[in-house]
Amino acid sequence: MFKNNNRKIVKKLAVKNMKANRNRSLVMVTAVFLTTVLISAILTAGFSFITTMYEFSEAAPGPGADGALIGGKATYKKVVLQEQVEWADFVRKCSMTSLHNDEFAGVQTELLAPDKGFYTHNYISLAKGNFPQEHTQILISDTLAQKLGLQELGAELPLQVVVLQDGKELETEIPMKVCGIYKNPLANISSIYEEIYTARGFIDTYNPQLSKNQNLIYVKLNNLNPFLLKSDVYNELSDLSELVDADSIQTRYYMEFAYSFTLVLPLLFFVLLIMMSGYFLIHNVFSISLASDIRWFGMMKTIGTSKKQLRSMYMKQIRFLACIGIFLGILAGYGIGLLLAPEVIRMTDYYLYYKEPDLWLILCFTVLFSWLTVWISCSWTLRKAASYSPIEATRFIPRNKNKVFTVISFALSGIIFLMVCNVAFGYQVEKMVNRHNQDEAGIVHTAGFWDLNEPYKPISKEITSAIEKLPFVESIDIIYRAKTMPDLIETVSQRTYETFLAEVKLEGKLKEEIEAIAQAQGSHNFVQLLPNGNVKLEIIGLPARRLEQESAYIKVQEGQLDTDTFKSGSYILYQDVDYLDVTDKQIDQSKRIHAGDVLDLSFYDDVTETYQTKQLTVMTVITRMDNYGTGNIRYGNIVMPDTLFQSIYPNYEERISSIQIISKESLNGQQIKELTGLLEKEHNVQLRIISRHEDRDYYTHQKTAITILGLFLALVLGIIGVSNMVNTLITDTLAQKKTILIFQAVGMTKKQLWRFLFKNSLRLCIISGGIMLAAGSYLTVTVASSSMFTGFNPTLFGLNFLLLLCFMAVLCVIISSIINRQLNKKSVVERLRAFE
Amino acid sequence: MSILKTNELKKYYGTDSNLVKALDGVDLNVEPGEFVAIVGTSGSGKSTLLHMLGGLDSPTSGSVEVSGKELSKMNDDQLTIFRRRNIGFIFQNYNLVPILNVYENIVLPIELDGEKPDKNFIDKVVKMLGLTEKLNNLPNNLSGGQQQRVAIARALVTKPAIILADEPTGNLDSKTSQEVLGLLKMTSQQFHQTIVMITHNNVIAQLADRIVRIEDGRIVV
Repeated sequence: MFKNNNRKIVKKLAVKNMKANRNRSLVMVTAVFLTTVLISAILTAGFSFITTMYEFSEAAPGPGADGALIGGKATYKKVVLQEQVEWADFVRKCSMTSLHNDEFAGVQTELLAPDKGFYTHNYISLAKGNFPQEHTQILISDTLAQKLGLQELGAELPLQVVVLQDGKELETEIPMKVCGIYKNPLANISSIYEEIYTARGFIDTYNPQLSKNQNLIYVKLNNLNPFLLKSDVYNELSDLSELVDADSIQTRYYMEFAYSFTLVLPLLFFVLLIMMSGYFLIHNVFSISLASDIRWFGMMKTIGTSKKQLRSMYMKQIRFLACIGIFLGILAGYGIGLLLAPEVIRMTDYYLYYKEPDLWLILCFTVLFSWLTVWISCSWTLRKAASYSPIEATRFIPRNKNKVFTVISFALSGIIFLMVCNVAFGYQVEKMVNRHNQDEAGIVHTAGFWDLNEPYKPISKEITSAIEKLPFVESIDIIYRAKTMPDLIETVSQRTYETFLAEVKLEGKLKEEIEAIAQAQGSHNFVQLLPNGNVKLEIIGLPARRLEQESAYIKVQEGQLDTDTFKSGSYILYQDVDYLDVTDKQIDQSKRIHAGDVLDLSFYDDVTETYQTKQLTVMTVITRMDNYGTGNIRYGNIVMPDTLFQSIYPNYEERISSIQIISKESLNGQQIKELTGLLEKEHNVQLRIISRHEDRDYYTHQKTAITILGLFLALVLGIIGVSNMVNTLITDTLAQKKTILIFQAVGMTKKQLWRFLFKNSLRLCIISGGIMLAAGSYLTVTVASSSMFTGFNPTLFGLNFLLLLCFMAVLCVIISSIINRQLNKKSVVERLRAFE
Repeated sequence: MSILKTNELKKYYGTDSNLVKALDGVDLNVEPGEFVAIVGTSGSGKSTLLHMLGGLDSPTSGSVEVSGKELSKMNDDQLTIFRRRNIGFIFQNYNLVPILNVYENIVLPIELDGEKPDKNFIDKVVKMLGLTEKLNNLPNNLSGGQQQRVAIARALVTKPAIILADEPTGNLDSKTSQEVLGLLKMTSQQFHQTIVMITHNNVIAQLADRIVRIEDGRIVV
């Protein structure tokens, strides 16, 4: 009965209606355009930021690749034939270990002979010179060149290469010439990792017996799902490895999808905010235009236009106008995003890792979010308008808008502003430097941080006495850490050497606690129980007088820190092995070790192959200050005075984990250079210098980066918040147009009208201000307390809040004045006539 | 058999002390081809009655039957389509679609129904109402009387069971009013069209076949 072909007339009415309301269509397109511009610009810039940060934080060898397979030339030939492989590059390692040059101390420096494609695919671009063509030429990074002071091409750099000769590793000095310098795409890890490139002929000439199978095949895959944020790399690479019989795979540490998703969440939050702001904009524009059409709706319904026909008529117009707005918006927004992101990132340290985002990803998300915004904004209003009965429609009067979202949106902008200003402007470089440096400088063994890729080589006695003799050194403190040999960990394709860990017999109270933790640890597997019944622990020995200094970096859970008691040699500090804090509440307290407990501890000494048993009292139970603990004893399970350590471990001189340098004044660059000179003489690449001087530079840069990114964030949110506020106030005034007109007709002056409008806008600002103060202070304290920042600054918070209040007041004055002027453009009589 | 029938029709607004009885038990029968005028003062309930008769508003109680179909049993969409096919409206302010020309306005209800306009019938109506020369004009280029003639044509072309006219001459001067009413009367006779007209003017009401008076929501004559 009701099925008729009336599409034609609906379409005709839609087209005629659209043509008849050109201004409305233009405003509508503009609103959609603006929303789309914001969405696509934020998505483009946001994805750029995320990709860049991702690249920055995940920077690893083969920066352009998804990972590498380990194998020979035959494997490589199979790899390039696979359809899921976009490209693959074969890279040969030229030395058995990393290079042994003294000047590379603390920096794992690899000598590699790659395919030519490797350079292009992995962002190796020349700063000067050429790529190596001969076996005597090397290409070094700009960061290494700066460290070594080798800025001239042709400069000589003899390399300490470990070659394989008749099955034995042999360190050989090979003279090489710098043929080029490249811009280091791994600059952010240049303090720990460098790559030097040479020609393939190097291996044939100097290291011909080198294994032909232990090479890297860097691979870029084309079958990754962009929506999984690279969390599928490992599985895809594993499949490929199986397919081509590679020895093993090597990937960067790609985050789990859930974790990667949390990185995208802030972006989605932004998009949601923009969608909300866009919703208000489009909704307001649409509902204003629809309000004037509602009487017409009533008339159309009277003569027999159904709700569906009315909705369809309007949706046709909306679809057409939205298509124009979205198309233009994407073009402009993508362009703005592409221009904006690199410009902002250029001001930070992350620029080297800048990558343009995937256009299709942006397109998909922008179209989806923009259309969703348009659809939600219009369809609800339209549905409601169409549902009025013809009589209701003729009596329709527009109502005031719900201001909850406006208040929230404005408040959110303010909260982010307060938070960003507090963490950025309140960032204290010195506090950060102190957090990571107890003393002016120190020589540290990298085995204190991570596993080594070649056998452990201790800090020598010579360097200790040489440092003491330096004029600017007041004194030194030696920190020991026990290490049980052998420390080799061997897998199919990798050999590593364990960090500082030592065996202790698992017995008594220690056994009770560790077994309880081992049971509760689940899949985390951090308890290192050995088949011989021992457990591996981090055992630290330090001068008793350092206890007070180190106490600033730990939390005392039980007991007290008393230097004299500690010095006696019968007391220790104890920290459980659960460094991830996953078992804390699952362990029976009676099984835990407490302050005052007397423990019989048997320490294994690998030199004499005997156990040294000591009865020691737990003076203090300690834990780290936070998850990113700093300080020498942050991960120590058993901390004892150095005298006790020396009595337990006869080879204590070979177990120095760091030499803390105490000086009267702050050290300068020249003095750090002197220390570096001493370190180079050590011929030990496993040592590093840490200093306040270098950290100060680093954290100053960090502060700049945080400030720039933070202000950008606050600016974008600010624009959204202000646009929402302006939009709501204008539409509210329009809704009250008739009331205002009547007020004016009965004698309200322009001044009184201005006050009326000002009060309305101020009310919204005051509510937003209240939320900003309450939620902003809570969130700022929480964020500022994280280890990335240096704490909450109440004065700065107060000042910023005052600044915000002033801004809001100025905004209210401006908006009220503009609306007042617009309303009074026509006389009261003219406006009354228009209403009639 | 009545083409329009109301039974104890009531429309109340508000509650308790604020209760307004706009219609209070109206029983009305209109026969096919009849031209009925409903007369009453402002606030007497005549417009409310017309809204109920056209299915534009729902009653508090009672029923309205048009061509034997009870309006209160239909949902919103069914009612709209029923109205499109069976009821023609003529309003005081014409209610023409400003973006459509005269011809498009006239055939609009037919096209909304997905039907093809009956050209001969339309020509006949247009000729009778003197709109032949104005078919391509937009409503805002027409005089009030001409616009009301377009509205009459639009109401007629669907050959509805009944035409409801709400103060059709309210916006017109006396000469044009006479002209429009004359046309209305003529079409009623020529097409045997049932017409219910609302007016507060007794003189105008005299043109109808029957006059129904309404006061305080009740029919008094």
